[in-house]
Amino acid sequence: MHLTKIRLFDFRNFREAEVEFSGGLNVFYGDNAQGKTNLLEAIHFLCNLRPVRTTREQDLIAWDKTKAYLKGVFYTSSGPVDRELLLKAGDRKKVRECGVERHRLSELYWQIHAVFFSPDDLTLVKGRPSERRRFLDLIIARLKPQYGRYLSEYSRALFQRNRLLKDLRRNRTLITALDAWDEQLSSLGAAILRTRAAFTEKLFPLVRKYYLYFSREEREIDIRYAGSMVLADVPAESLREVFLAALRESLPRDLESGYTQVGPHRDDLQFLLGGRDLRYFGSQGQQRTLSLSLKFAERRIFFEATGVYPILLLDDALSELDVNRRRWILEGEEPCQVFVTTADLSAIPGDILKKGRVYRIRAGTVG
Amino acid sequence: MGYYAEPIARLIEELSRLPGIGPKTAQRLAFHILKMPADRAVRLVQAIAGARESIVYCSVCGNFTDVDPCSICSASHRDRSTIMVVEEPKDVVAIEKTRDYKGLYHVLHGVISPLEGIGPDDIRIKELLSRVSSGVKEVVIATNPDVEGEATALYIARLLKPLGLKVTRIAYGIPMGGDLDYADEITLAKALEGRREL
Repeated sequence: MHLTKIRLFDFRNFREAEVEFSGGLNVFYGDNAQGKTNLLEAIHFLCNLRPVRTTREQDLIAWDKTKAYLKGVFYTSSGPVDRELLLKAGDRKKVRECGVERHRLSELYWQIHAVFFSPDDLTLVKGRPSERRRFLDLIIARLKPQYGRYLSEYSRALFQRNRLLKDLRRNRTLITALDAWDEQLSSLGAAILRTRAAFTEKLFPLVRKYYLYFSREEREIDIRYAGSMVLADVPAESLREVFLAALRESLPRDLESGYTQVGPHRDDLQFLLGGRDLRYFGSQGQQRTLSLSLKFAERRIFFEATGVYPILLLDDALSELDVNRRRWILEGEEPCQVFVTTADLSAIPGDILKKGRVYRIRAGTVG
Repeated sequence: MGYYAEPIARLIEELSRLPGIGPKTAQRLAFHILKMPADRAVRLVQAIAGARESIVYCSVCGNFTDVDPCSICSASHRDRSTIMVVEEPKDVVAIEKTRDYKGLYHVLHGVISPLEGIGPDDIRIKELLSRVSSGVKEVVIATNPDVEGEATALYIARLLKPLGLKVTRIAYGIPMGGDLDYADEITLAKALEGRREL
C-alpha cells in the first residue's frame, strides 16, 4: 500500500498543490517554516483521519480560509483507492472514498494507515500518563473497532460516577445509587483491561527489540503496564471482581477527591532500564530512541495485523541516528513508503538519496 | 425583513421546535398546512388541543392515558402479578406491539443520570416501590441497555430483591436475522451469559 498522489487545497500554508510520490523514499527538503511538516500532516490526516497528536482539526484549515480539501490516491492490493477529506469551519469533516461519502471508520479501506514520528514524540516517554494511554488506545481502537465503544461507554460511566461522588458531599443518601455505577464501571473496565493486556503482550517484545537495535546499548529495556490496581496473576475472568473490590476499597479517597482513583483511566506504561525509570532518569537520547521504538513497534503491529506496512512519516527524525540506522530506516529491511523531512540533504546517505525522490518545499509550494 | 409573512414565520418556528424537525422540514410542513382545506387544518388544531387537554399520566403506571387509571392498569384480563419497568411511554407501545406480554407496566419517565442531575428520587421509583407490595410476584426491568439504563436497572434490582420479589432483566443478545460476525464482543459475551438450553 502506498500513496501515489496528493492534492491539497487551503490546507495549512498550502494554497493549492498537487504532488505525485514514489512508492519508496520521498524527501521533503527546505528551510524551516516552509511547509514540510504540513505536508506530512496532510498525509497523516488522509491516512488516519485524525490530525497528528492533539492538533485540532479546524486548525488545519489555512488561517484566512473557511474550507480545506485533501485528496489522496492510494495504491493498494485491491487497486487504486482515492480518498477525499473536506474540512469546513464550524462543521464536521466529510470523508469520501472512491466518490462515496462514508460516515464510519469501519466503512473505509482498512489497509491504509500511517505512522508519524517527530522529535515532539518525546512526550510519549516524558509526558503525562494520558499520552501513553492515548498511544495504546488509538492503536487498539484502530485494530479492534469495538474497543472504541468500550472506551466511550466506560468514560461515560466514569463521568456519571464522578458526578455522583461530588453530589454525595451535599447529600449522603445518594450513596445507594453508587453500586449501580460500580457494576458498570467494573464490567466495561475489565473488557478494556483484557483487550489492553492482549495487545501489550504483542507490543512490548517489539518495543524491546527496536530499542535494542536503535540504542546501541547492550541492556534490554523492561516495559510494564503500570496499573492503578495490582493485577499480577489475576486471571482474565476475575478481572471484574478485582476491579469491583478495588473500587470499594478506594471509596474513601474517591469521596474526598471527587474522582475515581482506580481503573484503566489511571493506568500507565513504565519503561525501565537497569531498574531506572526512563521517564524521569533517561537521557534525552534514550527517551528519543524509546519513542522511536514505540512508533516502529506500532508500525510492525499493523503489519502483522493487516499484512501491509503502514506509510512511515519521519519529521526531522534523522539527526539523532547514526548512519547505519538511518540507512536501515530509509532503505528498509522492512520495505514500505517513507516520507522524510529535512533541512539538510546531507543527512541522507548519497546512494539512498539517488533512489528516492526529492521535493523542495518553499513557502507552501512543492518543487 | 423576513422571507415569510409573519404568521407563516411563526408557524415554521413552532414546528421546527418539534423533535426531528429541521428548518427545511418545518417549512415544508407549514406550506402543506396552508394548502390544506380549511376544515382539515381545524381538525389538526383540535386534535393537538384535544390530546393536550384530555391526556394525563396514569396515577398507577405513569403512562399517558385519557382515563385514570389507564386501560392497561384497569383491564381485568391482564396479569396483575407482573410489572414491567420501562423508561418512557413509547417503550410501552413497543412492548405492546409484541402482543406477548400480558402483565402491567411502570413508566419511570427517565433514568438515573448524575450528570443531568437526575437521581433515584427524580424518576418514578418510589411509586414503583409502593406498587409492588400488593400481590406482585415478578418485576421485569426493560430499561435501555446503555450505561444509564443499566445503572437504573441495577439500582432497582437492589431495592426490590430484599423484598422477596423475582426481579428479571430482559435478555441481551444477537438481534433476530442478525449475523454473529457483526456482533461486538460485549454483546456476544452478554448473549453467551444469557444462553438457554434447547
